[in-house]
Amino acid sequence: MRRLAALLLLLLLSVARPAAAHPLHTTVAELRLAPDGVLSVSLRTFSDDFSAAVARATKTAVLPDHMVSAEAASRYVREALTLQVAGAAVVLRLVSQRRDGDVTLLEFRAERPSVTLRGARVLNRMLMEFHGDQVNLLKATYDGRSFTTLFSQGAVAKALP
Amino acid sequence: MRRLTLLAAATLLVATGLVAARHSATRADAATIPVSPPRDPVAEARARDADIALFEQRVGEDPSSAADRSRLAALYLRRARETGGFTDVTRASAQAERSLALRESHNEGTWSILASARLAQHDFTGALEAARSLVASDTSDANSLALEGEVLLELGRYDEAAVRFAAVEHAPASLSLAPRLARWYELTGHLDRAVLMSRNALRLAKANDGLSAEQQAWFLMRAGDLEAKRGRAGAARLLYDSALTANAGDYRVLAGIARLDAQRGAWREAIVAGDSAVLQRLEPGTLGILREAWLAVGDTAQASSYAAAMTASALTQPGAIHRAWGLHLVNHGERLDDVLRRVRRELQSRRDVYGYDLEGWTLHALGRDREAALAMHQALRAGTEDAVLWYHAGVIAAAVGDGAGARLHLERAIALNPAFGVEDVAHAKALLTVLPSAPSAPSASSALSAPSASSARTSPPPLPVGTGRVAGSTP
Repeated sequence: MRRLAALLLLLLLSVARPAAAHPLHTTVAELRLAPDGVLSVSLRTFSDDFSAAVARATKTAVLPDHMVSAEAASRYVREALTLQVAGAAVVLRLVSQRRDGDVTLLEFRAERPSVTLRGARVLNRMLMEFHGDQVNLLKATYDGRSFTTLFSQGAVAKALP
Repeated sequence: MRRLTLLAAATLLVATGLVAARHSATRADAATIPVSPPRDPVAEARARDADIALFEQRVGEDPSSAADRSRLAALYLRRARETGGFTDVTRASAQAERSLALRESHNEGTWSILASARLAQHDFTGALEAARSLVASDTSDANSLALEGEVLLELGRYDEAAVRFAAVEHAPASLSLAPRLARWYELTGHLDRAVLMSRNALRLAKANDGLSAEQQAWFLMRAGDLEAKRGRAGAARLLYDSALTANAGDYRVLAGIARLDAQRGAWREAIVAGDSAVLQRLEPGTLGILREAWLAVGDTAQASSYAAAMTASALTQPGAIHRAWGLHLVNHGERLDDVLRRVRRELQSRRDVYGYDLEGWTLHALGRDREAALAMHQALRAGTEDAVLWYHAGVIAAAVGDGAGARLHLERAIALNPAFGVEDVAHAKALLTVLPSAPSAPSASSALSAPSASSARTSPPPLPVGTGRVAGSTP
């Protein structure tokens, strides 16, 4: 009853309308280095874009509802999102993949622990082969601090401060 | 169903009664900010998505139900507002159109949904058509007239908007009416009245327990925006913080905080708030603030990244140009011809003051100051109390040798908001030191030849100040 009443209110109250919206191509990656050295990467990406990119890059089929196999998703992300810590490439292992509405959420974990991400070099080129306006955001949390940066077409690897 | 309608109507009526004395609202301070107990946005989102699933199913089972399509459209619109999803805006628009195609009678509310969806798509002409259809169904309904007035404001048709708003100005305030009246006051030179009206909207919002966390935050944020516009940064921050209490992590509020921090030169704080906002939604205005902030702290590589992202996101916006992006480019002397072409294209159908402001500022950057002055005349025609408009007008007046006019405009800018941007304020004050001291004093040509006036074109860039209304969600 309460939910439907709220729905009716929505019909009457349209003043707080959405900001003008548009189809922007973007992903969000969050790197987190835990005190015990475990490095995890959380990725959010629009499912339709991601599944199309994975299918093309790995020559695999898109499963129903824009799902892709764990193996294909893992291969694609490893190619597109690169991370070097102390000069060595970090190997990411897919821990989970799930859907939330139009978004796919992927959780990766580094195979080896790290001491710090300071000076680590990172580059995220996900979906740039598809969209000229692709913007990938990356937030890194480590050593009690966080740093956010962006990657768009032509971006090169960046060192974390 | 009828009981539900009555319940909703009763809720609004009770809320309306609480603002009988709407012109007696007090100034902002901690004791008067009405904030409802925090809600659980996650639970609300879950319930919203369940409702969407339910009505999607119902529409699938009965495609001829206009009512179900209308409700589904309203829910899509709500999710678009809460998540920034473009797809949901187009879905809302499509469902509303389909609903109205099925049935127009006893379906008037759907015109309102359609108007809102079209506004979000920057289809202002389409929004006006929808609003007018709504008004046609009941020409005396205050909320409908206010909606039409709001669309007319967006189109820059201020005289027509004034007729609509004058007709409803003394109607009992409602959650639908009060914010629109506030917007009218804001754009037409009555900022104090806009603040009072936003306060009343806040009280209405608090009295209504049917609002979502996002909606509660929106009303608080709007009140904060208005306080910021008149230079009351402390009050604005308090309202923004209250909005975050209502809806933790609200990207629009975080963007407002970033803007506020940037205006006072607190660049590191601006970066923290701005990054938190863009991680949820890439909005060109916020990316512009972040670019300025990174430049200010000396990290040109980060600044370049944000500039590139800002352009990428701005170019996918609906409409001919994203205003904040355009101003940002002009302030950096970039893509001036492109900005001018785009803004002039938009001005063909949307002749609002911020469009003319951007045209004038761009022409000034191109050295075409006589044309710039004409554009600024249009930008000031509604008397909008926005310090940035008056600052631009002052700089341009100085550039064409109108020293007296420049002084008046710059003094007005600073009086309206002494903190509209740390570098702009400094530049305005510097200009004032070389301008004639009174309207009748020395020839305007002296101002034209003064180094400060002529250097205005390459002056420190003003920050984007909220003229953009466009955003795109991150996943």
